[in-house]
Amino acid sequence: MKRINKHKVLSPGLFFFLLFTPSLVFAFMFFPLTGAQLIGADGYLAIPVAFALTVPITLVAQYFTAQYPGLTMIEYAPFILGKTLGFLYNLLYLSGLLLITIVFFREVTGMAYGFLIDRAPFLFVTLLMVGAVLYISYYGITSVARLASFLFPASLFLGVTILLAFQNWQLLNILPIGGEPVGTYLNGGVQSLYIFYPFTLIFQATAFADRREKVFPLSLLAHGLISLLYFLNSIGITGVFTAEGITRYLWPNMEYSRTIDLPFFLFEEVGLVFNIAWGVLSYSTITIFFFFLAHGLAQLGLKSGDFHGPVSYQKILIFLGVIIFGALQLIPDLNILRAHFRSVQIIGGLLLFGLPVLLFLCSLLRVYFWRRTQNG
Amino acid sequence: MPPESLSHELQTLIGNPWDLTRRNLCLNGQRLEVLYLRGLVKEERIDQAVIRPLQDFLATIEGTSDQDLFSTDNFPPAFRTATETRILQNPKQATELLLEGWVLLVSNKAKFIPALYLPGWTKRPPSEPPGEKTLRGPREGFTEDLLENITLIRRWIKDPRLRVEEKTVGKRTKTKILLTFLADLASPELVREVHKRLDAIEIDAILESGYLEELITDERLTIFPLIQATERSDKVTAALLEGRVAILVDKSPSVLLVPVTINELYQSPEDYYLGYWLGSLLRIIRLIGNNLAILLPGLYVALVQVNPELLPSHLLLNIAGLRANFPFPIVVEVLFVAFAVEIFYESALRLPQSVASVGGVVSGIVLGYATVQAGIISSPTLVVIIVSTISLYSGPNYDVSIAWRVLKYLLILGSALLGVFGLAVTAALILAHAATLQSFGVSYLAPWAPLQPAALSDAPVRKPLWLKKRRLSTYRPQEMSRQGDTKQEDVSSRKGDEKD
Amino acid sequence: MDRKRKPVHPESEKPTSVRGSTRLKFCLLLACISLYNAGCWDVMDIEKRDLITGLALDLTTDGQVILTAQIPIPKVTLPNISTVNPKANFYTISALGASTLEAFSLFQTKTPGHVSTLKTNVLLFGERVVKKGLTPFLDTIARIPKFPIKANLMIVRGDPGQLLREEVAAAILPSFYLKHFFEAPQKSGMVYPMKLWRFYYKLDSPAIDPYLPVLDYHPEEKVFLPAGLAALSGDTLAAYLSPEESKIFGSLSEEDEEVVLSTEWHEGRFISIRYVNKRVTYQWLPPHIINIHMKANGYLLEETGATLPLTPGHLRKIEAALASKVKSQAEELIRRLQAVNSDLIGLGRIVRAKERQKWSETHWRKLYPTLEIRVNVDFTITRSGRLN
Repeated sequence: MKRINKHKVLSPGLFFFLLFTPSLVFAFMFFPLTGAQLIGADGYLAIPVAFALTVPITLVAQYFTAQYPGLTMIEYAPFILGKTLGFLYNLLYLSGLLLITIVFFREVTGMAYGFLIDRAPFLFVTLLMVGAVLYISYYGITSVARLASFLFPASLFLGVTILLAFQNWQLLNILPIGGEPVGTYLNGGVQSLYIFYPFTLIFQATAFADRREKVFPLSLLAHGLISLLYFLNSIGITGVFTAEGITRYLWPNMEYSRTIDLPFFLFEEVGLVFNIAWGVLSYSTITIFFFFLAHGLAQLGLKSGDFHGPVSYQKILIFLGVIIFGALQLIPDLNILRAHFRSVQIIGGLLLFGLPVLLFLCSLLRVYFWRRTQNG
Repeated sequence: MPPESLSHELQTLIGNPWDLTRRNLCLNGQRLEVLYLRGLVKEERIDQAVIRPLQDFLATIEGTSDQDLFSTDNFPPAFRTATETRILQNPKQATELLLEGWVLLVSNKAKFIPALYLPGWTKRPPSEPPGEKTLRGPREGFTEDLLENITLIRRWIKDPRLRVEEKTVGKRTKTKILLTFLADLASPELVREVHKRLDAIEIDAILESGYLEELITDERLTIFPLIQATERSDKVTAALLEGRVAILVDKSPSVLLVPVTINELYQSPEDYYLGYWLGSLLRIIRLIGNNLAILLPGLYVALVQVNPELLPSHLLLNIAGLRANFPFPIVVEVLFVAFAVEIFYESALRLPQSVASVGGVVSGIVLGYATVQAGIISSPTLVVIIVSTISLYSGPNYDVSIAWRVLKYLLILGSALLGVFGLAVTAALILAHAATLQSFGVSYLAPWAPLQPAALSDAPVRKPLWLKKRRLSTYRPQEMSRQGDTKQEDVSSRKGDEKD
Repeated sequence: MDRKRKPVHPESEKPTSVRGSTRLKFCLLLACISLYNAGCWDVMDIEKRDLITGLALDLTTDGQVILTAQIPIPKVTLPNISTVNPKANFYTISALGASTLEAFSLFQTKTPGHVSTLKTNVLLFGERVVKKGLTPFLDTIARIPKFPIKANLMIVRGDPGQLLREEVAAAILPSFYLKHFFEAPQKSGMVYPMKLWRFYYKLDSPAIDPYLPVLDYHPEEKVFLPAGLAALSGDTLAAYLSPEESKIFGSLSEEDEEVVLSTEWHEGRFISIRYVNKRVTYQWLPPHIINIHMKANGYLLEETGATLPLTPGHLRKIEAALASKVKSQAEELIRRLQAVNSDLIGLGRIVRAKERQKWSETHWRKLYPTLEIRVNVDFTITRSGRLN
């Protein structure tokens, strides 16, 4: 018990921001594209559908937290699946996490190149960013979570900007509501699931939480808030650009914020400030991804009873930095990434949400068989 | 030890310094020597406080053996009423007291050495500290005298639970350090931790509390002050009442306060004296001032050199017009002016009062005008750097303003490299660094990170005093309520958000 | 499990190996990387940029692109510069090329500094460009990084480059003149600004067609005056609307809040009305009727030749006369727009909202000209100023 206690370092507030920040910024800049492409004028309805679809994931996480208190999924997966299968399971899961980290990282650099810098060499920019991310994820979960918590005003700024951008909103642009077959909306919802991929961190993060009883309400709160914001944003952007207009842009939300006219604003464009607020938040997000990836990898070859793996996560972190740095160099163009975004969606969904659900089913089966052998 | 050698022993220990005074007395057949260091002792009182009572005493005693002359049972009662006294047997101990300003009475026969405390060195009266001036509030600051300093605190807090614990640090200086806290407020872990760190110090000399600050800080390689230093007694008192620990160092007017958060460093006691509206407003102004001081030069470089699209068109054209035909790129100009201002600042500190105003005029007006006219430095750059420099000193804390001064340069370089993006990355890195810091177990970014909703009522908008029923949870005081006696345990079981 | 407070200085939080030297190494590493790579790639001093504030695009008769750009001279535009020796505060450059970008790259040869479009306020199109279709030109512009999305677009009849070259009476640049002109709230109802981002979505959305404001050159006064709107069908010019028609369009659509309308309501008596509260509702009655109902509150600003004090009955008459006038003008305007297949109001959105499955762009293009569109107008004069 002492071992677990030692690592319960996240207060409910920090835990909340650990979940909130990554999920808020992960798909923030381009998520309206999916709904607009798949559903059309009422593409914003995909968000509630996706929200409803991800609530069970939180429930699964809650179940695991109750069942294996103080353990990360990397630790309890081998208990459920056995050593070899558990190892494979973890490896697959972590590769999913790695995938979305790389994709997100590339989006962030792409955004920087799109609106802030032109000629700086990509090599240098990525090196700087990877270095900056490594610097803080090196110091462990508390520092990473504190940073996320301190940057909360930036997320407030994002929210306010989205509300301000309603100034050009037209009701006729968001009509009709409904009218497509249910399948279309379901499809849109499923394909929009990627918005919530970072929620998968909950499977690892609960092990660090100080008060387990608050994990479920807090994650639901974070989830709900983000869904609400996304929903509002989606309605707003459709009302301003129309569904067809959204698809013109690579980052619709960025252009959306650029349409704001504030005559008394110090800067001529809100858009770039918006971009920077998002950028700073995404820095925090990448550090969170990095930390959990490294921590998960460190726990891979774990003997039961140790919290830390045979290798310290800090060593893995550096190794990870090199891998991600390399991977970023291999994606030359953001358009190529977007062209293959569909496969990212599918693979990510299967690995990050599909696997835990599978694990949950296995766990239920195990309990069921265990009961049967006990009774019979 | 034979009593004859006592005097001799003392002599070997201390030598024969110039300021050591020996007065040989021969009273009622006893040969006595009064030893003291001249500057440390109130010399004019020696006759009245030492010699006269001694005379009376020696006249009364009869039949005591010479050896037990000053033993405990048989000590001149007149001394006890006069000052603090001690009876020593060990000559080494006696030397230490002598060096602290005690008067020793050495007799050629007795094996005890009575010591009387008669401190009398010159002191500075408490005056308003120049670095932390306020318009409202007491105009008193700490002095170099430890006793006086603790008295200043005692005059505020008349509570028997005010603890003052003594420690001596420094092999040679033997500097006295006082740990002050309220026993029922400060968390015992914190007090233990402070003790632990102070005990671990191995150094020969402590000349200023700055030495201690460097030695007991949580993180040595950081630019942020992780310990707050102040010369204001009201600040220290307020800190003690929040459950923090004050460390007073002899010969240093700066008192150290631990733990500290970044939230503390832009606050001034005035915020509490001027009512909550004005207090909050002043705090916000200071916060904005500090942010301007750090960010403005970097932002200027980034906006004008790399990302001009953010600036309003007319401002952009005006800056471009003013900069036409100037030889240096903006970043060079900014660095040049900023560095020049640092030098001016440093010289202004040392300039004699009478010359200082002339220096200000020469450097500020003449030089500024001339550089623009000569086409060396463009005027927008001057404006930016001067605004940034002035706003730097809107904050009441000197230590943190040094940190901002240094960080400003980092941000300028970041901006020059990658524009607004570089500025954001550098700022995020600085924040990230701050997020890894803690001061005596308290997160440096509290109460924002970790978010402590209850403690946010003091950052930066402060609650009115009549609503402030509870202490800030940031410093984990044992007793949360300001008036009642709700214990921390009860509170923490209800409100979990206050833990890190 | 005991629920005691965490120790104040827990060893567990910070791995011991991180303290001290590792941190130093980290910082050094970062510093080295920066130094090694140092170079201020994006640095370009502001006075070395040639900021294009206005850009005009036209076609020659043989299909070549003429680009004209207006570039301010910052030194002269300073606010406190003495006006003893007034010099032009801007210069213009033109380039001819087979494509937009070719002409644009020719600009670089004609200026000393780095030509940038970061602050382009106005984008002027010649008539020929709009007749040919705007999409290819706008696509080029969309690819220019950081092109201001809030730039004002307009059509100039005559030479658009001329407009940029013309010195205006006020000492501001022509492009700023145009920008301010289109943003002034007093002029709402006379000019209809079109921002680039707004134009993009109207172009992209099949259910609505874009319009562009039109400027006319008056050689005798040497000024350009607003001359109504150009209705586009898709991306090509379909029809010009006169200023009077533009006002009617403003009242029928959601674009404009305030319209000032002057009309003759009784022999020789003219009135001016400013609408303040305007609500337009659209109703789709399948298979081919659309009802547009406009309800407006207005202030009576002027009435020429009126001698009697106004009575409520008198006001009702004015209201009715105005309503019938607007109604007939609106129906006329819509018939014109239907004839050229330009759905400026975005009626397609109303039909799509009701008949989503049937609706498609081709379907709508075919349906729109055949629709029967009825307009109902309801006026209330809430402030006449002369009522006893």
